[in-house]
Amino acid sequence: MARVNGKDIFYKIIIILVLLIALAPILWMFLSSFKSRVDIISYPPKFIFTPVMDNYKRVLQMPTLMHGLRNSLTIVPISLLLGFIFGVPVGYIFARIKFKRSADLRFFILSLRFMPPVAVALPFFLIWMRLGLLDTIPAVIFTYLTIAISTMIWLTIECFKQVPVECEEAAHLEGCTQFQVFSRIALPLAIPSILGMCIFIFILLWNEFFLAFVITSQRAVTMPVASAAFAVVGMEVPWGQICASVILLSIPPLILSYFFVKFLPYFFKVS
Amino acid sequence: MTRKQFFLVFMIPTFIILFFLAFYPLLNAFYYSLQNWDLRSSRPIRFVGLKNYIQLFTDARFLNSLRISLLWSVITVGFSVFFGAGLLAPLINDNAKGSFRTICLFIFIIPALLPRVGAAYMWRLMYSSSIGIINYFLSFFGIGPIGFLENPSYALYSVAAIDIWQWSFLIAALTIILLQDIPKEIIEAGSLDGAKRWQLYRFIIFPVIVPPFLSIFFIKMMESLRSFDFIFVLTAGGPGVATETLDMYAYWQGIGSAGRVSYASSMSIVMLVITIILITIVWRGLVRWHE
Amino acid sequence: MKKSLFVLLLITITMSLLIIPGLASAQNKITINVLTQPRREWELLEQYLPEFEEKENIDVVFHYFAELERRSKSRLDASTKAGQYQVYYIDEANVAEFAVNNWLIPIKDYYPEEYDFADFSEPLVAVLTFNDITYGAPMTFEGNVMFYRKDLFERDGIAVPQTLDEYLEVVKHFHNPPELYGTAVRGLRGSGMNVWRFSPYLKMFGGQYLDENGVPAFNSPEAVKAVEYYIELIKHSPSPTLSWSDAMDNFNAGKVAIVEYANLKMDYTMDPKGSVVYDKVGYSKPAAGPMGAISNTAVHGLGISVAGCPTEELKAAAGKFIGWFTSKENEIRKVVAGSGLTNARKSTFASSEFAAAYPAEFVEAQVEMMKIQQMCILQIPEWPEIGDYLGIKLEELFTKAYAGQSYDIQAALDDAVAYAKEVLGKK
Repeated sequence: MARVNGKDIFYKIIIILVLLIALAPILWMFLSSFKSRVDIISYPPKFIFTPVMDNYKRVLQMPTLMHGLRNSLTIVPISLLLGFIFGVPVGYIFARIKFKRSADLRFFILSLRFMPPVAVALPFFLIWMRLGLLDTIPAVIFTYLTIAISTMIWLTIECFKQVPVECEEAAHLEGCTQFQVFSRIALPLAIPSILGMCIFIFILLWNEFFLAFVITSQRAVTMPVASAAFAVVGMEVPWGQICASVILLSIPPLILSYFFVKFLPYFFKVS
Repeated sequence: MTRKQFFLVFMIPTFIILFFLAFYPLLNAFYYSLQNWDLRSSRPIRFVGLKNYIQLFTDARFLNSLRISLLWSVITVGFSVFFGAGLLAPLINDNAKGSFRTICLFIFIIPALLPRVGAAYMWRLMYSSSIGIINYFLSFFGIGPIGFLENPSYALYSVAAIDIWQWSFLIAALTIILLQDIPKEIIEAGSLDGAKRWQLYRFIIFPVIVPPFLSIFFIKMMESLRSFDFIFVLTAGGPGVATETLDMYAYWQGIGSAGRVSYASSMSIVMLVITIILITIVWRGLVRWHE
Repeated sequence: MKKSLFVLLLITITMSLLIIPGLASAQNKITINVLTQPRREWELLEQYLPEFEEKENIDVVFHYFAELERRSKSRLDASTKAGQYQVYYIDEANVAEFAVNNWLIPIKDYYPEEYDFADFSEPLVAVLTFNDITYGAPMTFEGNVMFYRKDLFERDGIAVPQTLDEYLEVVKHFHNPPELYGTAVRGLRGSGMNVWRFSPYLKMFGGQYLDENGVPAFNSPEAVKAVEYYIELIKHSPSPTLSWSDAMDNFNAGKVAIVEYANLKMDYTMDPKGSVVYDKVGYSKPAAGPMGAISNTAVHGLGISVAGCPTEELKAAAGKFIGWFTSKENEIRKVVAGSGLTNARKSTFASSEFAAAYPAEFVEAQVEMMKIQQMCILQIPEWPEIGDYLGIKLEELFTKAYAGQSYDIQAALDDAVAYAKEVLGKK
């Protein structure tokens, strides 16, 4: 028994070390966000210093950055939701219904993601320009739908395949319609992994930089684009403000993902 | 609602959207690639046939960027999957329970949520050979200073390390979520047979999650082919062209300095074709291996 | 079943309805969209913006992008005639391209008289002028001033170097890594980086980018000498790939003995919150090479977009904004707020506010520098491409030299010249 405990503690220590590796760079950024410029660039690196709030004050005063955060918080969840609505049933179809060319279509969906952003960005820019939608939130959402829907389908196929076929067959026998089987049996059973995939897609969209850079400018600017703009003031790198912005801008998605990990599975299981 | 109705109601709208959003830009890009469109000049745009494609294969920088892209993808995908799914996920899955596990999951997601451009700048400072914290710690062991980003031989690996840091934790988190869905009976049955821990994973647990996991693997591959922001901030493709991936080069030629939209489009089309070929090979290979 | 479908549809429709009203922002008021990059002085003047907006009844929106992205954005906007912006932020690297393509409206036609265009320093206006037509109002410039560690120079009894040879000797004298590096020079590739800093050396050693016939000639023996000299500086730097910002960060961290650097950096170096050596720095004019001393001039300014201003009304409004932004009053505001170097008017540099804001020694060095300033990069539309390619070749040389690997300057320059000839169609 004692041996087992020893092993247990050993693994716990390793896990804590791993968590440190995950967090150390972020902690360093957190620390740096309270430093004045002279403390950030001084060597040896300073662990003890007089904290200043200047960086946070400046970041919070930058209208564009907060605007970008708001836009991202609108664009990404809506794209994700639309991706869910359009993608999840199709993922289910691919997993359960056999039809001609199913494998080819599936590969087509994956191949949508092969296209280098540099190539598609310009055509998108020109479409939205002609439609007068440049720099608007709907344009960004539509552009992101390719990513959201195709990734959603691609990732949920396997989630549905994990659901035991027997449950569905039983439901069919009891006279449920196909939609009922999908919405009452398959979806609730597969939802924990689907939500995991949603986090993943959320992160993909949240970090998307290039397409948003080309098709937005100010009104619909997303968080990565806005924060990239402030990463260089003139040609000066404002280290403290960058750190403060990294910390501040990570908080909303953090809360969201906590929500995903912790609460959503229960919500779906209950219903 | 019958199967057929269900099929039609959901498939048709989705595919209409996808075809529009995918083919319109794709066909456009192909169309541009046959022209001589240059953002910098106002001369009339003409068709030049396959000239851009022929030029590509005599362009040493393009060939170099192909090589770098391939290397970059292999390194980042390989290591993030190995660390994430191979080491971290089993470690947490076996040794962390209850709320500790949730906390671990949560922390694993954090690196991926950081605004990448900002984080990349911070890494640049940490990597600095004169005032960076990494070299400071190394100096305790009498190592360095190492020019992580400035030595042509290390630069690519230094940038890749950040990508791996970000992704392996995310992949680990997703793998753990997938592992949760495995029925307990399977694992218990395996344990009774007296299988060693790693054997249990290798022969019983991983095979169950291989299909969903492969999907993630492919997406990571796609993302690796386009991790533009880290490289852009940390080395801008340098030293020289040592970290210039295809994406960087296409950006530079297309929207960046040169403004040669057509040339960049032809580059993207070639990249698309190569990706499709490679992925098909990997896909077939993996499917066969799995069977 | 039908119900659930209906709910799905409803969600989608509501969502679209929520978004669409945001699109229609019909306004009678004129809006001037300004494509710019984040800078301290823009943040500062943004606070005073309502003053202008109320007076002229014009709305102004700033679109911020980092420098390189800002350049790509403005070209994309102008070239596709998208016309998202009425005012572009322009600089020494893209004026030629914009002028040749008629993407900018000559500024003097719309610069309001009350703001006095003639007050701008002539060499700065010249940088934003192409074929005798001025396309932009300058708002900030950059030239090189020598920053050196007075305390170290006094300790060792070293005189301020006057020539490039003396400068290199001083650099070697102090070089003692990792505690102290002799100097810090930009080595990173890219616009505004190594090539910008290298260009005055090319001229000081007697080299040139184009010969009399307009053929690229920067692989001459003089150019090789200039690269050799620059590599010596790189070898005595903390890193061969320093950016514009990194190089001076190292100096401000007290790790570097002497640099010749952008005068703009003074605002950080003299700030106790920005530098550990703020009270230990001496200033002088740049050291002279075989062909004399030269400081490279970089100028940023504002221009009126052709695509964004289809009407006379918009052109006039854009001109008014540029006039207000670059006014004497705003320049003095910048001086008072601690960004005094990001200015372009003769009257500002001669003002009592400016003299009060900076040490006399620095002001003197800047005056000397302004006498020897030259635009050292090429003012042709193809420059961005040629310059970037040369930057890559230089970075390769620098990193190889720094890592102790073998390198071939002549071959690298020949390669860059061949590329430039191809770009210029002079094979």
